[in-house]
Amino acid sequence: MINLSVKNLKVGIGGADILDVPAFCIGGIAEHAPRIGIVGESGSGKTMLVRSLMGLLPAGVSVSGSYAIDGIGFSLNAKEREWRGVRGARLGMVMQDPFTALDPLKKCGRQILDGVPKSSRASFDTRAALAEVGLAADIAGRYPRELSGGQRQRVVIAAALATEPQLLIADEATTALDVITQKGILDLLDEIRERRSMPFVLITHNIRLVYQRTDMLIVMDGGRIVETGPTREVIADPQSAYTRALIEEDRLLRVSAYPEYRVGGPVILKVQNVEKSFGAVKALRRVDIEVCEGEIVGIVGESGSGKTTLARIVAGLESADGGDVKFFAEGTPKIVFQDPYSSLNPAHTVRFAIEEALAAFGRPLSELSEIMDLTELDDSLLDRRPAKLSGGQRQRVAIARALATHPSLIVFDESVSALDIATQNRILGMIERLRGERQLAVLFITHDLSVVRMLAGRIYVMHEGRIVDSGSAEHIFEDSKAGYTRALVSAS
Amino acid sequence: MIRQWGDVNIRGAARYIAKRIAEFAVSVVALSFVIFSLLYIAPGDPARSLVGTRKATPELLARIREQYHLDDPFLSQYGRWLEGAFHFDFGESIRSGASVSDTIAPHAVVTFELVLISLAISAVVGVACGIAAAKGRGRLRDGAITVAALVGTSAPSYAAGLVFLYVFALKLGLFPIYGIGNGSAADELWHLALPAVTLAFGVGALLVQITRSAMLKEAASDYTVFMRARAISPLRVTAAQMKNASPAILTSAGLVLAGLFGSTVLVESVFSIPGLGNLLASSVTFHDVPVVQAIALLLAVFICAASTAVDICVYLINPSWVQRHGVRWKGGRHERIHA
Repeated sequence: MINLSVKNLKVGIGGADILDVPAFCIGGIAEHAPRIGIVGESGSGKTMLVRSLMGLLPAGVSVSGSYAIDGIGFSLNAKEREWRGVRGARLGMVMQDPFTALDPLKKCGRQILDGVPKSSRASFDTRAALAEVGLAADIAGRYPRELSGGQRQRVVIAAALATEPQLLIADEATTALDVITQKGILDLLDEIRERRSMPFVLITHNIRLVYQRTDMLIVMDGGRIVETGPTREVIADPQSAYTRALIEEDRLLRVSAYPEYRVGGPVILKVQNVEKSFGAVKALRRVDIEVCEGEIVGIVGESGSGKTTLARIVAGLESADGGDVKFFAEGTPKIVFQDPYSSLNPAHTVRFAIEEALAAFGRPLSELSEIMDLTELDDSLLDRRPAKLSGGQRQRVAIARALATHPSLIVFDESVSALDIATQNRILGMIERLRGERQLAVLFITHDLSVVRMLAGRIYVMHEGRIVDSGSAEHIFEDSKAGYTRALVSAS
Repeated sequence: MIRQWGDVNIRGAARYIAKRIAEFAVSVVALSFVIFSLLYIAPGDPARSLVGTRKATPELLARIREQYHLDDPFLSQYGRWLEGAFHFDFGESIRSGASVSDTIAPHAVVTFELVLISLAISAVVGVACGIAAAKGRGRLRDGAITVAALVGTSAPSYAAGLVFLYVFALKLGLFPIYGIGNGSAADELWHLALPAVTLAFGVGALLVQITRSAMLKEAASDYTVFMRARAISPLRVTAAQMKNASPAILTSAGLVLAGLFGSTVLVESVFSIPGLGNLLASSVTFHDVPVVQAIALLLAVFICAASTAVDICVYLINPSWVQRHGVRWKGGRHERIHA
């Protein structure tokens, strides 16, 4: 079994340390291929930690520390050629986004074969490799664009396994997938671990995933390891305040009552029979939805179900091929995107970003402090740029910019998916409060059922471009008859 | 069963190519209309424009009106001119009285040779340097190539031409100073070498920058990281990156080709090469309108054909790229089909 250890690991960007780990080791901690979980929000350094062990840090990032693989020292600043002995044959990696991890211009079979070591290339059986990840043999001749997200992630896993690694690192490997696909991928990783006696590292922001599926747990926050130990013990008796908070927030998510199903307010958004295709791909098929004033409506579906396209059409960023989108309130709906790292201009301070939005809609700049209060942003952040904000703070700034225009409807497109549960819950609480105070209507789009369960009074379920189910949250979670909804609920 | 040729669905490809060729035809006709109209947009009497530098006697003006059917309606004049153009008949040069096609042909050959040689040089050297710079990002080699490319893009071609002429022809005596030589192919190549390098210097530098940034974008992509994580050989990683970067590079190479025809006018005059550029410049001076119109149309057809060829190549490399960036281009937003 492989044994990795690293001491005094420091990773820095432009002089500031973003990761500081005095000691970290993997392997040799359990007699049988252990399952190791690393939990933390985006920006906590979990990806940097494993990337530094594979020499895959982005350009411009410095790293120092002493690293040993099976007791033999290895430089963290080794040359690309030397790393090739560690990558693949020692450590395999599954990346987060199955839509971008594969070369779009190469057939899947070829991509899997590319990583097979020369010595075993002659005897390599692509068909068997695909079968191991639960895919049919004909996938070998297909291009990634012809596959679903779950199928692509299976191809990625097959490609990672083709190098015969001794340890597999799955970096948020299921984050982009819906719960049903997610469960399939996690089960697959477990099966492969047993069959190959190969330990894996599961990196995630979602603490719920590691409860059942890991033996060892490492909790990270702000570039440091805050807690580590056997998963069961950490969960039963967390020592750090951060871990305690994560666990408590997750518990609340499951036991709290369903949001109230409110009816009454006038309809402000009516989407009727909307259709949209991209080339041969039908993204939306005769979609009907309605949103009333002061109502939070959830739209749940897996990646590829068309929910993002619907969000973009509602926000006016995309035009429908057919059907009607009617908005009965003043102004236009605003949208808050998933990734606060890329939706804010990195050159502008928080003050500039919000004042710009106020000025663009003719609001007085004096509303700045009111908006900062509403979004629970501290005034001390006003002169910071996005690089100096946490993921949660950035998303608050993005929401603040949307609120600056006094919209009647805000579309949240996977807006809390990249955040850890504590931050996520605080932002959800804030959205609920804004709804009450400003009679704001919210269209909340997510693949994460637990999020809509907390927030949305009414839910639409999307699948393959169609609305397949709708109703109050309680109806969807407790007594829906729709097969897809029941599969979703039971997988979560 | 969809018929496939490599990665390309034949029916889809045929439809795309047909569409692109139709667009080519439409653009050429539109351009020909603009080019023909120039004669009438220019201030004054078209007959006087066609007189050129001759003395405008009333008899001559009358003769020109008759010869060019200037009293006919505008559209029928245009139709007659366009029909002639299809048979390479652009009338007679005002300056020499010789047929326009015969006047242009030898010049066109020289210019096309010059442009093709410099395109070949700039494509090979530019793309190779761009890849080398991207692969050695932040190292000395990257710095040297980037600085050289910056000099190349910012130096005007006539200035670079004069420097090359001075250093390589005058001081070192490696190349002839002017003209295209005695007519043998080897001698002509030798004469065209320095002008071609001059032309290639500027546009090749542009290609270096475009290739470098396209390759850096691919180097930061997830699939590159994933290939490196599987210890796939750097050669194979680079090959995958090049294929993915090629639509951007090819598209810009098409633009570069158009730019080459612009710079060739200046470079031909620096090196005294009897090409289209020189002919165009002197024909403008002599108000030789039929020749100017014919050269303008020839260049327009060639540039449109090049851009059509580039688009078709890009489609054959990656049909889905064209679907996303070409046909479904909306306001510069790149969208994943499944998003």
